[in-house]
Amino acid sequence: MQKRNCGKMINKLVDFPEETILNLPKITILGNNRLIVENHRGIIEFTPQRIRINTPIGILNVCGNDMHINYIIPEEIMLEGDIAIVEFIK
Amino acid sequence: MRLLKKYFSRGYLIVQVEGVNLEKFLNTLMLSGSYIWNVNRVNFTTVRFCISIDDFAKLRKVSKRFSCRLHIVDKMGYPFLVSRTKRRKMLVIGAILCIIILYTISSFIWKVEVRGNKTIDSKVILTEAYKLGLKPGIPKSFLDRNKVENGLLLKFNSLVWAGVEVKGVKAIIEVVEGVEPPKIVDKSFPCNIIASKDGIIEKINVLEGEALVKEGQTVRTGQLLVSGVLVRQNLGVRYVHAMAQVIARVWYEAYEESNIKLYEYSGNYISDYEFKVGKMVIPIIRKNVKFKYYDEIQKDLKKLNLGNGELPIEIIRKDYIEKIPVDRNSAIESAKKEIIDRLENQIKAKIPKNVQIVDKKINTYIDDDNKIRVYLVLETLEDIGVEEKISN
Repeated sequence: MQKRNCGKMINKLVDFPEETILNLPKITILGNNRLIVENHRGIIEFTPQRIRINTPIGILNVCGNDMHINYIIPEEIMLEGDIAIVEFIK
Repeated sequence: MRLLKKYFSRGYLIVQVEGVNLEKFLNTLMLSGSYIWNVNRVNFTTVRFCISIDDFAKLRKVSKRFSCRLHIVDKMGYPFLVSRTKRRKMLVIGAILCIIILYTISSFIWKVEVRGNKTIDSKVILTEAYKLGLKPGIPKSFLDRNKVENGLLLKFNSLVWAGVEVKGVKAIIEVVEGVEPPKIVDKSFPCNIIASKDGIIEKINVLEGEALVKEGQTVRTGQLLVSGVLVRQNLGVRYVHAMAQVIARVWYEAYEESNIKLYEYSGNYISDYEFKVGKMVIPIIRKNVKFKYYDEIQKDLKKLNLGNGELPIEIIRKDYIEKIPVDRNSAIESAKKEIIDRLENQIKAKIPKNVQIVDKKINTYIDDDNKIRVYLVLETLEDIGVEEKISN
C-alpha cells in the first residue's frame, strides 16, 4: 500500500499515464461483445462461458456466452462474445 | 482487413491442440512471443486457434513441453497457394492459355447480322458487306466501318442510312430503307385507253376521259375503252390523258390430246437376233417369248459393206418388251390429271402476275380409239386497259 501511495505521489508530480506508473490493467469494453485488457498477466481459465484473466491487481472474471479470444499477445488480450458480467476477484 | 493482410503476407495455420492445462499452454505460447488469434475452446481438452507460420516452430516446442497433441486443421494464405500451384504447373499454364485464346478469339468478328431491312433481302446485303470487307473471321481492328457504311449506301439506292455496330463477336448492320415516292403519272400527253385482251367488262372506274363501254359488254383486243377526246357542246373538243381502271373477265384456253396408256412397261425384255440375206430371214437365236403382252421393236443393226458396194446382208435385232395392262378408268384419270397439270402450267406462264384466277373449266372427251382430249379454260379478273397515245 505504501508503494502505491508513493506512486500516486510521483504521478501527481509527473504527468504520466496512471496505468503505466501504477501498473494497473487498462480495460476497454466495447458494447457488450468486445473487451480489451491491456497489461495483463495471462489467462487462468478459458471456456466459452467464463474467462478469467490475471492482472496486477487481482483476477478479472468475465462471464458470458460463446466467448472466444480474438487475439492474445504479452501486452494485450481481446475477448469477443456475449459479455454479461465483468468483475474483479481479489 | 487485418486478416486479409495476414492472409496474403505470410500465410497461417489453423491448429487444434489437445491436452490438459491449456490456459497455461496459451500463456507460455504468448510469452514466447508468438502471435495467436481466433482462439476457440472446442471442448474441455481441446482448443483451436490460428497461428502464423513463422511461429509454428515455437508452437511445436511448447506443445512438446506440455505434451499436447498438435493437429493442423488447415493451411491458409498466399505461400501455401503458391506451393500448391507450383505442384500443378499445367493447370496454371492451361488457365493462362485459356484466357489468351479467349481474348484472341473475341477480337474477331464471327457473325454478321442484318437488321431493319424490309424489301432488300438480307443475303444480298450480306454478300455486299462481305465484298466490302465485313465478313466472319476478320479481326475487329481490320474492319473499316465507314467504308462498309458508305459502300452499302452507294450500292443500294433505297437505303437511307446504314450503320455497322460491333457487339462482342457479332457485327450488326443496321439499315433504314426509305419509302419510295409514288410514281408520277405523266399527264402531259393526251391518250385513250384500249383493251389489251379480249374479255367481258366486269367493272370500269373512269378517273379521266369518257367511257365508251359498259359493264357486261364484250370487248375485243384493241377496242377503245375510254376516250381521251372529250366533245362537249359549246366547249368544243378537248384532249385529256384518259385514266381508268378497267377490270374484265379474261379467258385463257389450252388444249391437248394424247393417247391413253393402257399398258405399262415392266422393264423386262428379250432380244432376238436375225440374219437377213436378200429377202431370206435366218434366225440366229430363237427365244421363247413368254410375255403375255408385249411390243415388238425391230432394229437394223448392221449392213455389211464390201468396198463401196452394199451387201444385202443385215443383222436385225428384235426386242420384245413386256407390258402389263392397266385398268382403263384409272389410266384415263391419271392421263387427265397429267394433261391438266401441264395445261395449267402452260396458261399460268401467260397470265401476268398478281392476277386472281376466278374460275376453272375442264372439258374432257374420250374417243373410242383410246384418245383423250382436254380443254382447259381459266377465267381471270384483270385490268386490261392500256394507254394509247392520241396521234395528231
